[in-house]
Amino acid sequence: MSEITIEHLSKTFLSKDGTVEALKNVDLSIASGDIFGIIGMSGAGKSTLVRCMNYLEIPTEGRVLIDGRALGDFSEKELRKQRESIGMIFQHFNLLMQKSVLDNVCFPLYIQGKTKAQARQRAAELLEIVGLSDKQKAYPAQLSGGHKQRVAIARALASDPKILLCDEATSALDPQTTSQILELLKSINKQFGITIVVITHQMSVVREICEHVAILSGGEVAEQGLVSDIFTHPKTAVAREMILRDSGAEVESGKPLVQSEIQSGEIIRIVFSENSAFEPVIANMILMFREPVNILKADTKNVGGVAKGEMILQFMKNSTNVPAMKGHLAECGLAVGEAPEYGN
Amino acid sequence: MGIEHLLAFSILPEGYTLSSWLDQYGSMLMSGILETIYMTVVSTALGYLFGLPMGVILTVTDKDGLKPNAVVYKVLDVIANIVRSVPFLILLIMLIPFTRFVVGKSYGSTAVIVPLTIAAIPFIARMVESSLKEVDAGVIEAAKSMGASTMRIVFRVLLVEGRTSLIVNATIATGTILGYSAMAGAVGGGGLGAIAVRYGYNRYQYDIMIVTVILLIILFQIFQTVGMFIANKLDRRKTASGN
Repeated sequence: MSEITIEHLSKTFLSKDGTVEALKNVDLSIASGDIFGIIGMSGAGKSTLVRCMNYLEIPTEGRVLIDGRALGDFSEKELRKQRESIGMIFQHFNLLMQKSVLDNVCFPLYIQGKTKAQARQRAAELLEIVGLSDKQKAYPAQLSGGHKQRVAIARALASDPKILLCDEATSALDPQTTSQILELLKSINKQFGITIVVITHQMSVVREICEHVAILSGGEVAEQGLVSDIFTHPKTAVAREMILRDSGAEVESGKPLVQSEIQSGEIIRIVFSENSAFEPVIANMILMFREPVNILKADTKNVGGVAKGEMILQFMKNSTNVPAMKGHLAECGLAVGEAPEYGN
Repeated sequence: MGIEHLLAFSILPEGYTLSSWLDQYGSMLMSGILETIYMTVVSTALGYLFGLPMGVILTVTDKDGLKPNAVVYKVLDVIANIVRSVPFLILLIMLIPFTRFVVGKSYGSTAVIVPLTIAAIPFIARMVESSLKEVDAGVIEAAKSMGASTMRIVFRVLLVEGRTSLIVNATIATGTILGYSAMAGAVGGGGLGAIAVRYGYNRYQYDIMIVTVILLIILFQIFQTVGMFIANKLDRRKTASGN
């Protein structure tokens, strides 16, 4: 059964320069126990959408149903009660900076009317779940970003929520810490069966943990479905763009996917800038020397506003043409270098 | 006049030794110090008793606040602006009937506490408002997402997270009220200010005036140092460990 249902949701903000339609007629249904991704560029309305799920933002039109009950029908008191069962974590963690880690986790427990002793005991258990038992007495300012987010997760879990909303929860973290936090979210989802809604602008996050995804663009849902389906058959331009931007799509730290048959040949790295991309340099070289080369990797990076292409090439084993081919590439204006990290 | 008087500032009057000077004026200065501390501390405390809730209400009812209420905000806003725009010396005189009604007389240290408090309330309310508005909106949002009520957010988030800024501003407020208390000396108040006016202005006894000014500076420094020390001591936003 679906845990969160969103029906014809629209949100319009009034500003000095007129009205801004942040969300237009959004329909979503998120199943219980799912990890659901909502992805979009900045300004797509995803933060507004997630805030409608706990009524931090009140929609202009449409309904939000949690377990079949519309949030709009709740009194303020009932709404506060409902929010206790919807945890939320944020991009900038939003911890109380003047309170210790333990007291931060106690905060929602006090809202539930727990005594100090009960709250502290439960908070200590939660900190153990997120792997921070040794940081109870520390203050947030003394913690790294990843640890702060762990505290925030422990705090969000304190009220035994059925839903956890993550608003760009890994956007302020480095890639390695991001993976660790995503792992933690995944295990929480498995262990406690909590439905997780992940708001992000990074396809890599969706790819790593989400089962379903909705792609948001200009306040509308462009596409939604299983992550694996959308990843292989994106139907809309927005979806294709989100996937293309996902530069981390290689498997395991940039190592080539398939080991080549010409195993032990020399490997080089070439870099070309915009202008040299007009000529089919590699194709010409192959025709010229009548000898295959293996392309291990090709990538385009934005370096200081200029598109730089990077390619890792492997020559045939015992090829005598290697110096001449390198010379040819250099003549074409490409930077030729070694690529020891791809060596075998 | 002129240069001779300036020289006289720095030395005791003719015929006095330090001990004979202190014998004559010491106890008066001592009670002046105590009166000044009494007026400043009591007025600041009373100012916070009313100014703190007023500042909280201003913050909560502002249009981006927890419970926006244009009417309540506007009324408090206008009151704060009116009281703050009247120069303190004029306010002191205008409030004489009210002071007499409350305290029974319109002169002396206790009487001065009335106009001091009235002047302090809107000033403190504005200080509190600005401290509380510095509190990170994200933390308030997080508290809301956990189902916290407005009251809980005020007491457990705003006043806790704004603590350092509130104490720094309380230090500034105390300093300002200390200055006002000295000003009240001109129109029948007590304390060091009254002594400075009585002896320095009315009787040209610059030695006493200079000493009272020095004492006021020392008092101000003490308030400032203690306030900043407490603010720092209670701030947990530093990266170094230690509680």
